[in-house]
Amino acid sequence: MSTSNDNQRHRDVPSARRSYISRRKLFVLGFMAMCAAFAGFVLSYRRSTLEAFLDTLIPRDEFGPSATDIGLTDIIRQKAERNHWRFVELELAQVWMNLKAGGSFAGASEARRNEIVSQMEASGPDSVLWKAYHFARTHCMTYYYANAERATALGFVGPPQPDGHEEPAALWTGAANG
Amino acid sequence: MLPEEIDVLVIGAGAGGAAAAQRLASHGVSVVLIDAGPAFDASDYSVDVSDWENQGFPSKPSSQGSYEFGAGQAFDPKWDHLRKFSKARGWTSTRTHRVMGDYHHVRGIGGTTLKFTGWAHRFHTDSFRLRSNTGQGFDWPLGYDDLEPYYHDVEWMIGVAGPPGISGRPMSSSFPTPAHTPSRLSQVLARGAARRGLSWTENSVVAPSRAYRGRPACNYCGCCQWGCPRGDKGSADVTFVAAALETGRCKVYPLHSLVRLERGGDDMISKAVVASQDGQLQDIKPRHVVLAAGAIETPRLLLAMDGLANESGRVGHHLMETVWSYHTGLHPDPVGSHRGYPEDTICWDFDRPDAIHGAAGGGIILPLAATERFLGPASYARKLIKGFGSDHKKRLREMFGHAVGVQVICENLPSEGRYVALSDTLTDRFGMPIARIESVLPDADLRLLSGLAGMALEVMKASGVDEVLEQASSYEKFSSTHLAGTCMMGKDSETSVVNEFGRTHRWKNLWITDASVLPSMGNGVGLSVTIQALALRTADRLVAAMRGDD
Repeated sequence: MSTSNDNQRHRDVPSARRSYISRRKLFVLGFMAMCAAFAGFVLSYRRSTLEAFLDTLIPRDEFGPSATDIGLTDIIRQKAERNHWRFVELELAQVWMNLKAGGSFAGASEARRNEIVSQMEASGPDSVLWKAYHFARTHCMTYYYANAERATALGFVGPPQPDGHEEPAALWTGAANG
Repeated sequence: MLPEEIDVLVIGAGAGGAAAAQRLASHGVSVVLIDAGPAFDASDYSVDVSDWENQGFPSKPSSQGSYEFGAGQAFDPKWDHLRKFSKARGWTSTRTHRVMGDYHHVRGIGGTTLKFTGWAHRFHTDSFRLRSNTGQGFDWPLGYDDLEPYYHDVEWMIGVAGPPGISGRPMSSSFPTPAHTPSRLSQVLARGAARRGLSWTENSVVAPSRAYRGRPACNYCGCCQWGCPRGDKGSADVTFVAAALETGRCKVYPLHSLVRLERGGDDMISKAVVASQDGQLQDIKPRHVVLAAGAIETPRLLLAMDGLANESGRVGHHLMETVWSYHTGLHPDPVGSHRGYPEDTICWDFDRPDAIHGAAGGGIILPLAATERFLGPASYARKLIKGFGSDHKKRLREMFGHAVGVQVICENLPSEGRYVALSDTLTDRFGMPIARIESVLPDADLRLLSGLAGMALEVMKASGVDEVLEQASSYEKFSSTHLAGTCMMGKDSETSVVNEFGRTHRWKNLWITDASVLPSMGNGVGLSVTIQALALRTADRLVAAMRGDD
């Protein structure tokens, strides 16, 4: 039970007790900060690798924005996280991409990144790299192009309704007339 | 609540049930039409939204039935040329067994006609005598001439668009609207067919080419399989069901399931037990029952009701499926393959039982683009244009609208390895076993498919497509829309389930009007118009029976 004297004593010697707690806390906090920094570095590293990968698949160029310009990174990551195997394959592929790039795929030149992704594409259906490549490619293409506003801005058709498409030009000359 | 005493209870509001209900109501009969699935309307379809290309036919609660598959057959290397491949992915299937994948159907008011492309095909006159002509399969207990007036009625109810005539199918009058002008894709394929000495002609389809009975003409969006928000496509809901409701004598109840039919004395069904969506059971006492739940659900229900109408032991047997292949590539010239009615032309040259040497039954070849969703850039980007990066973007811009595809659908003869049975382990929410679909494609089926696929590829090549970029077939995967034969009609009650009018051989007031009664597949043609013609014929006979005229 606490007394006023106890309180007084605490007030009298706060520094020693706070010092002891603070050191432990400091150590824990410091360790956590280091972990967080490392995790942040890893996450940032992973994110930059994924972004570079997706922008290699769909780069920003004269034809339109890149995959990351339209926010595909989180969509692809979320897609992967819903399937354990796809997630593992994508993670492994990113490790491989960084190794092939000499440490940082994101830091590699565009030509080198294209070369590395081409190797993934050519690696064959049984390989993890091929699976990761097609997983990312399929979803990137789907989300990039299956958006009517973007598709029309890129020069493709918009939604088929309500206007439909014009009746075909009446070139038909009858069956088997060539 | 459903009315308790009615003239006819029709179970299933797809092609056959809707047609039967309309015909019965038009004769002054009181009809209750129930379906285990929901009603759909234009607001359900997503063809005008930003992400339309990611959409498809909508899924709603209870719009899909439950079923399971048996094991897929092991592959035989001699049919490896029918395996699935994708050159854009650099992938050829290495599976060892057939994938038992999809039974494409919709439960709801309109049934699978809601999502079909809508071929409006009559069967060839010879298709009614398949066994007589080939020594295989079954003859029908009726002939083309018996069905012709009903074909006419169906076509004029729907507003079918088609050419002046089709070989092997004498017509008492023309189609109600002219054929659609073939798309450029069809015109390109027609030129290729001509170079191979084959004919390629306008297809007959359920979307009218001119405004028809309050429905607009098709505007060529190509998205029939997404569901038609304009109502121009002649699905059963906007044709037969709408007409049935107009009589004032038909009431339609979505989300109501048949739970039981009770056997009464004198070989009559005495009572039907129907469940609403919330599980409430209600007894109905119809004078007649028309079962039209489709080639999987109808035998499933009968078998689950202690083998009702299965005196012959043939309920669930004779299952016939869609045997198909498709092949796609890119044409050097733009063909606008995202425009036009999806399968607006057809090659009928193999629509005969001896079309392919060594195989019984024929098949049809049609264009393909919409079915594989080549209507927008995303499908091109994924499936037809290889690679990545700026080159991929550039190539996609150059090649959009260049997709050319062909598809083949064949006759499918009944075989003992293909049937519908009850699941040993799984039940529906009423405790009834769900259906188990067993399918094996025998060599005879694959010989026919292989021969026709070869012809289709020749047409494609002669059309100017040098390389097939993607291919798939039902050899690789059970993926079927046209399922039939599981309550086959016939004269002999020992070998069939219903007679030529769709009445079960034993039960005097139990009739079947869906694809399950078909004895053959008509060389792979669309089944809906034939199902509906048979349903009208059944309805007429049922009314005659009610009046004591049969």
